[in-house]
Amino acid sequence: MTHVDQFVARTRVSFVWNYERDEEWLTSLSAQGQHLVKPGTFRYRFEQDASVRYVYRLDYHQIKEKGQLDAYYALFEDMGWEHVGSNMGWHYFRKPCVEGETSTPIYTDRSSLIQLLKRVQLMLIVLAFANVPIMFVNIFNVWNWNDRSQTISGVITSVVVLQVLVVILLSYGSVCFQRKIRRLAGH
Amino acid sequence: MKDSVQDLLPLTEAYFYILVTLYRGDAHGYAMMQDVEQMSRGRVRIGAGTLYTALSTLQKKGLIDFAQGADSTDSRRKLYAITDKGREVLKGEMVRLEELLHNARQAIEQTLGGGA
Repeated sequence: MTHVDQFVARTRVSFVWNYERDEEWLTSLSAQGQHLVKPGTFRYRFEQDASVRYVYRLDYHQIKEKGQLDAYYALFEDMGWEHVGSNMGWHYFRKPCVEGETSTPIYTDRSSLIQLLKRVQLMLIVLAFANVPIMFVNIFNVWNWNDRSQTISGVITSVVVLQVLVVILLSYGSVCFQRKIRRLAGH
Repeated sequence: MKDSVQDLLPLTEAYFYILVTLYRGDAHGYAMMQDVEQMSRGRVRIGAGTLYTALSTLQKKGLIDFAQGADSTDSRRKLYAITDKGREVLKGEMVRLEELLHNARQAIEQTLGGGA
């Protein structure tokens, strides 16, 4: 097998509630010969190689302890999943495609899939709540600086607008995950 | 840790089979997965995400733990063992399943005897 050392970087904006779509995106790019080697928040690095084809899967765990993280990767490795990279608690795995094998899920029962969705949802809720007090401090500051400096109050206002947007997105995300969980639990 | 045996029931198929394989002896995750697939003749397939989640949940609830005297050959791979509480929960689940089966069998036998 000859390796073509050619790297491609791609930019993609995606939302956490579409993580399954990211798996499909990575798997379909792999079918075209571009395989993810380094995930990022918006920038992804790919390697070109027409001789292989992978299925990509994402998992979410906040594991801080080194030994625990090694054991986690080792378990996936034993089951045929190569760890490609991690970004903000999301772990990217891949496995060579097998002809005739239609789906290779890493979550094979409802209760563990619900646990995954709940972990992600909790992270979104924590981030949203962490933003709220800072937002209020900023709103207070806008009002405070208003008579002293229009420039400073303008800058803080744009920060507040951005924060409101972030909190709305995080809240929307947690609602999306709530829907996914309810759909699974009620099934 | 405070959960009583009854609070932990019913077990999912994955939890149940993991406790069954560990009842026989300590094992690594991969061996457990293979064992479960073999016991269920390929019906129960445990994916990597489900297995990791199940193992950490069972450990948190005190039903399994890392095996004593961890193997020196490969420290990355964790060897798991069932705990006393795990054995108790497994047996509790068997009693529950047997009650279900007993009642269902009785109902079926009664209708067969009366109807046909």
